[in-house]
Amino acid sequence: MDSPMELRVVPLLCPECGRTLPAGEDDALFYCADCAVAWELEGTSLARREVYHLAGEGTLFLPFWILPFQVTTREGTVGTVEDYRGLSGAVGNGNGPARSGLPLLYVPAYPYQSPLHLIRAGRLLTLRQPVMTLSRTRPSRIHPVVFREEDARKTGATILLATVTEDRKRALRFLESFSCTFGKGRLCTIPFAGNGSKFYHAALNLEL
Amino acid sequence: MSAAISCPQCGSPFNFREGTRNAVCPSCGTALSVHGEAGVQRFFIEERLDLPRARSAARKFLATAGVDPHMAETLKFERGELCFLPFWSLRALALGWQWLEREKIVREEIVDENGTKRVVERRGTNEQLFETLASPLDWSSPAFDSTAFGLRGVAVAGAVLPLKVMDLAALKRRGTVFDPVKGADQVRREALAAARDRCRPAGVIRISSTIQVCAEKLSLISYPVWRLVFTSGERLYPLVVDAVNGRILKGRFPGRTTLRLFAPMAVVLQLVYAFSLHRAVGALAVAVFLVWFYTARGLSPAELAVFFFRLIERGEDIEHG
Repeated sequence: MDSPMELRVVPLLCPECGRTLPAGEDDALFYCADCAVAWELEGTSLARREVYHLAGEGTLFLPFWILPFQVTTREGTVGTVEDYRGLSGAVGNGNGPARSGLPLLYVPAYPYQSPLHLIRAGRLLTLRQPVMTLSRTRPSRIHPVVFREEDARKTGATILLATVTEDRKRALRFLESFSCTFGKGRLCTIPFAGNGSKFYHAALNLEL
Repeated sequence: MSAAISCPQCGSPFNFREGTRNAVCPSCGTALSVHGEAGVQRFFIEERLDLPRARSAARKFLATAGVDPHMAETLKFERGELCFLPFWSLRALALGWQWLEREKIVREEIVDENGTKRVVERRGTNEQLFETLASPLDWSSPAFDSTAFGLRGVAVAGAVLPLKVMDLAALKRRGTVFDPVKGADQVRREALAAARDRCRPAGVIRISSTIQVCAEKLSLISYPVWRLVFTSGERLYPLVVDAVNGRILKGRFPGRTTLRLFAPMAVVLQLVYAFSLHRAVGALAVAVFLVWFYTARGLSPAELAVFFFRLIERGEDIEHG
């Protein structure tokens, strides 16, 4: 450790409109409701972060990191949604993306109630591989984002393994050969209905 | 744990909680991001004891620690130095999985030829389990060689004492600020090892696990101690005093001195008595004494002189902490 580490205090003001950005204690991204733009701190300056708002019923816009992934096991490489369904044992609902497309990993970026809740929410959405369209309207407020993309990448393998069938995971050789790579992540908000502690998504038949 | 910090917009001081990323200035309402270099926030805990009070705490301890009162009086205070010792504090999320294999005991009910039922336990086939690991991580560890100071943890103290934002230049004027010798990677490894141990159930034959640290918040907290040096004759006696509560963390004190009259006198009297019986008995007694002395202390003129003429013996130094 060569240099002294001192604290830097950076005012969080929207670079576009100059208004103060709402920021919770653990927020990693800051959303300006007036400009509908999210900002992320890079060094001592704020950098624009693209956020995609997905269409759906609900007023609570929960943020998720969505990362395309490939899994390699001793049985081969899983690079399509169809392959992934074979690995996870999930039954497709006919609503999935093109079968040749890369499967997507969903990692909750909002404050989790418990670490297991984080895994569960990611697992349920990843298993469903939903196809959603972009919303035409911008939300006035989104749920706080506390997870950065790098955190989502670190969480990825654990969530993906949570989606794999139990029989496979009992074999140590399978686990030792399990590795995954992720593509560029996108931050998306998915509208949920809810009362603060429980979130519902009727179209996905999902309760978080 | 909260630390005082000033708002760069309006200059008003406000409290900032260690382990968080952002705060809102209560005066102007500006949201502020607080971060350290390389993602490490650095704080210190202010000392509550000045040098005279640290010396007085040391003297009080000397009076009760089994140090010879006469020796304690002869101890002369030489110098005192305020030191700030760094501790890592890591809050994060430990995520991963573990695979384990354990013995399975199967209970079987057996009915013998007399119709008596008995339950027999036998080893079944081993069972393999997979578990997802997900738990919050709160880890504190010294970032320096703690053996020289006797201070092993700061987590509890840091949780109740107010933290101050590190101003290295100002702090260096007050005392010696120790730089961390342990890197953040090592702290992560230690925290992961602790998390792994916590998750390890009993009765496991084989285990394999992968855990990662994510969403980490890393801070470095400097804790104050006084390093005092006392002298007695030519010897130096260092003492480390906790500069917050006055507890003696580590020290070395002179042992008790004893007056040894009996052992040399008894030897001389026995030799004289042996010679008074017969010269040969006397010579034999001398030989026996020399053999005993050789095995106990090593036979040298210096050792013999010490045994017979140094009647005041100093006990071994007392180590504390």
